[in-house]
Amino acid sequence: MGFDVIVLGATFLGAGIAEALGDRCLMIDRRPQAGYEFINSLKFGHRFDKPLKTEAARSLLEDFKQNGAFEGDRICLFECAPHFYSLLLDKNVLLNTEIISVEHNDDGFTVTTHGVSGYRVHKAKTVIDTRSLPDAATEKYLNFIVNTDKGATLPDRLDTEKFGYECDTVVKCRVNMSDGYQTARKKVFDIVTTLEGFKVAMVADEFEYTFKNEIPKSETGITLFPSQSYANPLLAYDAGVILGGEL
Amino acid sequence: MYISEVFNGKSQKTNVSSVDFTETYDVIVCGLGTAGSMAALMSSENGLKVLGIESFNCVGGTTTIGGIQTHYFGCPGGRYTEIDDKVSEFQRLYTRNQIESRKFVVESLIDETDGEILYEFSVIGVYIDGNEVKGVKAITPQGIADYGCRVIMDCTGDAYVAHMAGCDSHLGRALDGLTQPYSMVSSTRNKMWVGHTNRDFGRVDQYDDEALSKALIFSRSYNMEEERNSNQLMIHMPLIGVREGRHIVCEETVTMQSILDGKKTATPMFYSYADFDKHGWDNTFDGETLGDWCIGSNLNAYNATVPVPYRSVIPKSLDGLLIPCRALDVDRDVASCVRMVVDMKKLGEVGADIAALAIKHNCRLRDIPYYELSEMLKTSGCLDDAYDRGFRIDGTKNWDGTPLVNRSVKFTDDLSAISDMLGTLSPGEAIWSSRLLGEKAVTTLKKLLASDNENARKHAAFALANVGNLSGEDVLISTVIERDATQLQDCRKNNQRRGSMAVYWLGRLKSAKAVDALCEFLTNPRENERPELYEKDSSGTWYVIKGFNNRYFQFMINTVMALIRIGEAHEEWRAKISSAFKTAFLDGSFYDRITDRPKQSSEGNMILNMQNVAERYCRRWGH
Ligand SMILES: Cc1cc2nc3c(=O)[nH]c(=O)nc-3n(C[C@H](O)[C@H](O)[C@H](O)COP(=O)(O)OP(=O)(O)OC[C@H]3O[C@@H](n4cnc5c(N)ncnc54)[C@H](O)[C@@H]3O)c2cc1C
Repeated sequence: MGFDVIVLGATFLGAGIAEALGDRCLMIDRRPQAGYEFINSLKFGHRFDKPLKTEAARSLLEDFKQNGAFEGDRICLFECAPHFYSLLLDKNVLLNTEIISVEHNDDGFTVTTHGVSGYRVHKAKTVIDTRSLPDAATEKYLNFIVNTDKGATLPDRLDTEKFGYECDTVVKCRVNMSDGYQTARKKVFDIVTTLEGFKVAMVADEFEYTFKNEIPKSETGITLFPSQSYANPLLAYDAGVILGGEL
Repeated sequence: MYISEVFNGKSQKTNVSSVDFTETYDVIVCGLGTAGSMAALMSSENGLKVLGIESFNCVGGTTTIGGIQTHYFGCPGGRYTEIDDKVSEFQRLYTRNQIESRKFVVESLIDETDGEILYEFSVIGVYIDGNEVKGVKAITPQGIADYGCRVIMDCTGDAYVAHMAGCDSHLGRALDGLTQPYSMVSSTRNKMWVGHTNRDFGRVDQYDDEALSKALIFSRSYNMEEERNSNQLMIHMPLIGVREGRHIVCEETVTMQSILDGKKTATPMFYSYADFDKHGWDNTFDGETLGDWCIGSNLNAYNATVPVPYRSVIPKSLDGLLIPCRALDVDRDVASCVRMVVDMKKLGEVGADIAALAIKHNCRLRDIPYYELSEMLKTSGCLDDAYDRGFRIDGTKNWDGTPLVNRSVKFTDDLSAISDMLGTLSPGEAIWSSRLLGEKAVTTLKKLLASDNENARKHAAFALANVGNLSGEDVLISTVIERDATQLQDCRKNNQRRGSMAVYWLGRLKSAKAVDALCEFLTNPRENERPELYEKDSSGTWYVIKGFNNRYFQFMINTVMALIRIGEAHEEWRAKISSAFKTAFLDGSFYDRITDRPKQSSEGNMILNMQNVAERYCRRWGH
């Protein structure tokens, strides 16, 4: 079956494209999750006051508000995840599916995937990659949440962010671009073992990247739009809806 | 040499002239989950050159990214205990739960022993020469790569690698092919505390890309309001909570029947120990062996010891491949007991030792000397005959909240003891003892049918049915007509109601005489209005699900199964039974009588499947 668009990455931006295109779009991700580039990376975002251009994104913002995403200046998206997933209920999505190859040919693209039922081939006129592309990134972090019941304070040298739960703080652990999860986790615990009175509640299971101003063009004809390059998930979703509408 | 890969669900072979392996190892562990992380670490400790390939980005599988941290029963002992101690100590110092400490401690230990880990790599093909595996093909963040090895351990939980390699397997229940319902596990917060809560959803075909994706999305669109008791939702765990999958046909298998018959393997690797942990409420569809034990005899929370043969991880068809994970060769009834976390950790150890012995002796995996393996396992405590303890009752609380007396269970051949037990509300052991005695118990049981003691009379009818004797048929039918809602008391949880048990046994006896009573029950649209039967729960013994009338559902689904069994045996009753099925399931009203939960919920799924199964039999019988 052919699609107008195949979106690589079950991201907020990808979900926006799928929202605009409905059945004409297929979203594929190797991970078993969606929206992980913000939720699971613990990059809850900033600039939520920036106006959203689409009705779909404004409605998602309302859902987020109702689910306690914004408590004063603290932001937490955990309770919003079910709402984000419910946007995908009627979309074409393949999670847990490896992207083996993307080939550009005369009549569009051929995307070969490998999932629980093995190899499959999908065709589309356009392919948009919304995943976090390390080549386009400038910095990489493995974030983690610590909390204290001992009234302890975190040392100033740490890069931290306020977070929804009062007793919690997100600590941003900068890692090298070449570091994998094992090395990055080691760096996280190198920090944790020096902290007095704090324990880890959770380590992110996705890296946070920061991006260059200009996202490089792909040589293969794939359009590159890393969802994580937006300041927050609603802006990414908004951009996706607009992009989808233009296709 | 050829490569074996899966296309649209089917394994296919393609010849390859030669493969340039990036690197060659003694052992490649595919999937670093509960079993695989232990297999990789222990293979490395055994001095082997090890590569671990994991799709996700950490070790632990169901015990980390699946959110399951606790051991459900099981026997202690083995090399995993030392590792678990390190994980616990690290947790005590640095983390709020075991998930983050397990990921970090276990991967660090693998690293320290020079084991190599590749995260975000998935195995997508197996190289095979003749009858021997030679290596794997993986998709990596950088593209495709091939790795060679002497032994592959398929620790993917679902035996994806063995399936790719074309090994035979068995899956799901005979009646409708379904497996147990899956759960979504979520972490929740209450101040400092980080806990986990599961919710069972419907069934999923985890081998179908689209079905799996839909289940992942649907289950996460729930915010777990009921389950988390006003705790805050943190995160849905990455791994979907699939409990049951395919089992690979291996050199030796274990069936529930063999355990109930007391048959034991001569070459155990360890003892599993738990109840047959069924999930879902439609266990009457699970087959006769499990049904006779759990429903007909009300023994569902009795624990069983399962000696697990080491050859149940060695596939029949290929050499060089091991299945040390949940997909080992046990039938699905036993699998519900042998899949526990502690068993999987032990399987990791066994896999590592089998591989080490095959390499040491330069022999096929199936030819390793068992005495050496058993010595290794006994030295570590993984195999400890002290835990060969048969059936037992264990736990903390009884069904009524009183302390549970832990004890070993011995089925008896003492007919007077059997008679006494049948006269109580805990007749389960006597019903099963009667089955073991067979004909020898019949005269005594028949006498009890005339007893003034209602318990003795009805339970004797169950016991007679359990030896295949029809003498108690009238007592069973009147128990159904009365809608006897008495709840028995053998088990700490999920005790059966006598009325549904009577329905169950009438089906097992293929009782044509019961058809009228059963059809009347099934087709009566006001049946659920009997408040004494179906509304309030008199004890906390059944897990209560809001908006789901489980008592009524138990009567109903047992009736459907009973009528199917009767119809299969008596052609002349098929028209009447089919007509009852059609009346009962004509419109959606039966659904609303049972639940107001959504159709995709675990309960909704079971109710609709009951209807599907009934309709399938109508078609099969030509009605
Ligand atoms: C919801 C739920 C609740 C449970 N509760 C309990 C409990 O309370 N107590 C208890 O004792 N037991 C419990 N169990 C049972 C027990 O947790 C599991 O049976 C057991 O952990 C399975 O272990 P495994 O090693 O076979 O698979 P897993 O631990 O699932 O590991 C499989 C690993 O393989 C990886 N993988 C899969 N495919 C590939 C591939 N192609 N390439 C590379 N890697 C791959 C996966 O990412 C995963 O890490 C529960 C199970 C579930 C699902």
